[in-house]
Amino acid sequence: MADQSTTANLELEGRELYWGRPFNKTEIFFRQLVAVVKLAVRSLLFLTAVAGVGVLAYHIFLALKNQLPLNDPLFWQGRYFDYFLWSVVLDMYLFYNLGLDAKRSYNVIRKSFKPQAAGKAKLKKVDMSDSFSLEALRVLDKAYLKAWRSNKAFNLLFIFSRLLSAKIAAVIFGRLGLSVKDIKIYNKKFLENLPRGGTVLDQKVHQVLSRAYDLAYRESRPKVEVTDLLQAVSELQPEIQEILYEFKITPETINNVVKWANIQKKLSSRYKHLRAKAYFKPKGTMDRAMTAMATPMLDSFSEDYTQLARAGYLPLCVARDQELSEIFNIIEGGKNSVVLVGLPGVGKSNIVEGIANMMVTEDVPKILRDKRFVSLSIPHLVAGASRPNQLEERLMIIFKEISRAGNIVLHIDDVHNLVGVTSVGSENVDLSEILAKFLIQKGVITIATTNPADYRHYLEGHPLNEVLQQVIIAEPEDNQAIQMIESKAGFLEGKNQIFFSYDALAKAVKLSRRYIPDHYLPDKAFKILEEVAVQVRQSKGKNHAVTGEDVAGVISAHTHIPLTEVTQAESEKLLNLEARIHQRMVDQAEAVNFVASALRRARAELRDTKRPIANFLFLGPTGVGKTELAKTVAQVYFGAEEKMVRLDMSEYQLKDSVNRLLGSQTTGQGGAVRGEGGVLTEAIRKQPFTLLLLDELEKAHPDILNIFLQVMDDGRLTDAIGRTVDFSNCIIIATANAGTQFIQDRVKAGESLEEIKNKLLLSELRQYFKPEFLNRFDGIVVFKPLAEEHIFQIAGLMLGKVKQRLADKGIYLEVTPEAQAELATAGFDPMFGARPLRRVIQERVDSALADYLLQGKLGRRDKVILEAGGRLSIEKADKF
Amino acid sequence: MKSSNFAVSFVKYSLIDLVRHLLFWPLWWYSGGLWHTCKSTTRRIGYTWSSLALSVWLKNIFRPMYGQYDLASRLISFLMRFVQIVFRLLIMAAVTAMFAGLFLVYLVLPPLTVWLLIKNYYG
Repeated sequence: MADQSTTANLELEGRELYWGRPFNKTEIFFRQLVAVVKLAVRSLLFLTAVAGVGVLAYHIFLALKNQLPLNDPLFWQGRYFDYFLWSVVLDMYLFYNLGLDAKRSYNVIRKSFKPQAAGKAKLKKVDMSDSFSLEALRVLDKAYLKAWRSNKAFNLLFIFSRLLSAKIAAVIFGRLGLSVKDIKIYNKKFLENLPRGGTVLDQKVHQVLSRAYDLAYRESRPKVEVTDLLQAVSELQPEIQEILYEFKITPETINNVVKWANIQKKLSSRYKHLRAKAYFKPKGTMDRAMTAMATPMLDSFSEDYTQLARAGYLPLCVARDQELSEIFNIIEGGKNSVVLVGLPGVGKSNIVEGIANMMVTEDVPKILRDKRFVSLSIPHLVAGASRPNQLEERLMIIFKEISRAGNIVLHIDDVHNLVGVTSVGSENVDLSEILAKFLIQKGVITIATTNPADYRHYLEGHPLNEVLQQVIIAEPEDNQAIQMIESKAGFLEGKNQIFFSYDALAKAVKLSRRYIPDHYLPDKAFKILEEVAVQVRQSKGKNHAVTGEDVAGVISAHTHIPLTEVTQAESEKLLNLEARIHQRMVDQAEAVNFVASALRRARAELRDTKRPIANFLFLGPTGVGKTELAKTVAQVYFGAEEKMVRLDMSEYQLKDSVNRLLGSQTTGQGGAVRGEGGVLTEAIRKQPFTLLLLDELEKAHPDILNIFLQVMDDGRLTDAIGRTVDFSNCIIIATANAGTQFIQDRVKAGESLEEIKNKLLLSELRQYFKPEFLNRFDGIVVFKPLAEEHIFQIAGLMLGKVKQRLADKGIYLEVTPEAQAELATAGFDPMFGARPLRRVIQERVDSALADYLLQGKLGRRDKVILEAGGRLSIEKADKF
Repeated sequence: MKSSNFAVSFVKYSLIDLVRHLLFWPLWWYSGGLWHTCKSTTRRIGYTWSSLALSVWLKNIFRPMYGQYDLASRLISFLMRFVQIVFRLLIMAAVTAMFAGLFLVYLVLPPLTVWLLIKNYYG
């Protein structure tokens, strides 16, 4: 049997850790025996203790009956009193017995952050097994017994198999949307393939034990839990990783889910701490030192956050430790007031609520202890102030109360709303200036909030800005946001009786970051989850898991962008994209292939997500299908022809037109800067998943081309107001008529399109575009001029549309091939491609049909036949 | 043969262990157990101290109550605080006495029980 001494021991915080709990059958048997005996003995001792009290009561009863006083020696004697004394001895033994065990169970070593003295001669030895939780130890023992029973080496697969039976494993794999049963089946296969021949100890077992201990140490957990073992096992055994990969799980995913479980534990212990400490926080407006004063005016225009927190109404703040310590540092550092600047939805209010909770538990700097955190409501303050100077009066009284009470920490939400507010009448002072002056003079601690745009507009250069130190609350990183969502997921789960898989949370954060650009994390992810939760409850019923696909489905429905996994039907559709496009497009096979393969790359997520989906430049004469192809792409990929932003670049020939594209800023009344969004940036901001069609690009001013250079490269653009607009979900198609004559001449001369394109790039296009600009396109496609046979087909497609319109009215249209050929000939113009054809069809077919309809010659179910020479004959339907 | 040997040595070692366990009992009572009881007693007394807010009252004894800084208020405040502190100290003393009493019981319980038992059986 392997011995623990053969393993390399772990060294932590100047202590040497070893595993002092041998794995062998006899030991495990005795450990189990001892545990049973201990439990039996303790239960017996407890019963005697209870009986002892009863016996004492009976003794006293007898003594009272015999009228024995306490000082009579007989009172302290007798059979029942002796029994009681013996029970006291046993009680003392029980105390000893329990006390010994309490001493035996050590916690995991705490992180000290102190530098270790290197090269100590002798390290203190610590037995790791003392710090493993009872359940973890039981898992290990049972795993060993299983290996022993099947006469195989004791390795990690056995531990994994036992871990799968643990309660927490069902929770963790449930969060991953898996059933433990399926994993067990795979694990069993690996176990069956292990060779028989003695239960030797695999070297990796000790590695796992050390790793699990290390994980608990890193997370400052008091005990090594089953989850630590699970994490360690999944990191160290290749077979287990293979099983997990089969279910699309990596060790990191397990790590994140374990963290989720721990966050919930941590939150519940933090909540308990809050409840326990809330008892000490005074209920009313008075502080514990009784130095405060009543603040009736303030109370009627505000909400007491410490009271709300004391009563447990405010949520805990998660993953914002850095911001909180920054706020506290500023307040402690003497600059009493801060303004939290963050986009809506990033959790400014949550931080404020977190501070209120911390003030209840008094886990705050000394200067904030024994104080009230009061939120002044500007809407309440301003409402109903109709008399001249009433507003100023209100504010002055409130400030007076605050400075006299001396125990108020002020919170002002959306502090920019105070700027420019005065009461009725002229010659009044701006409220924000009164506040600024008050804050400077009295040094009242204030925590205000605002958003970046309003901060720039109203606070920069304002006296308030000098008093309030800016703290930027950034949108959280993915992992941070996931943690925030995890802390709130329980609420939605309880409300909707469903449960979230880890994938659902991760997808909600990742997809909403990418596809919902106008809102901010974590709020937008939470809102998506709210919606998904309701939807899943309604569609699947209670007690179902919300998967990542459910989340993708909801975001997809919002954005009309396919985000769910590619289904069989869809992959067929994608593979036959060329055929589908050709249903609307005639010829131009090269251009169609090019575009189709770019779309397939995008849907399979093989593209660079930092750039637009694809950038194309379509070259060719007018009327050959450039715009038509763009429309087709919009319909096929984005779901509708209207999903297209079309800019006619001939409107942007001047340098000034940059302002129209990107917006502009003007300085308005009172120095406030007002911005106006640009045509391009606003359109893409509102509809980020779209096809951007730049018609006649060569006519735009060169400076505008430079802007698109950046868009095509980085997939982003900053507008005049400073908002960054994301272009990474756009397909950019630019068309140009440049070199039309050249193309037509060369095609006539019989050159291939590839040759023409190369020559165009080298000569013709140089006059309009710089080489680096042309380089940014994923593809430059030359559309060839249409021949007469193509026009014949296009006439077919256009007449198809006419047929469709008539079919809506219940009339059938039939076109003879001769008539179609006639129309094609009439509509063909080598200079203008298929464009004249539309006019010809309008004149010869649509107009004639309109006349017939108005004259009442055509009724429902009638059939119209278009014949050569433009004649229309009608076959009347049979009357009923 | 092997198993009976094993059984004998098992019983032997278990008995030795049991004797050692019982001998360690009084030693533990006045070392580890005493330390444990000591700690829990001080923790309870500390909890009483903070729930009575005595440090807050003592620290602010000269600070006027309710933000009234005139002389008369200061005087009234001081008297009021003084009465409060005395009253709270009395409660504190009573609670401390109770916990100290319990601690004393822990100390004398083993000798007292043994003495009473000996007296009852032999005296």
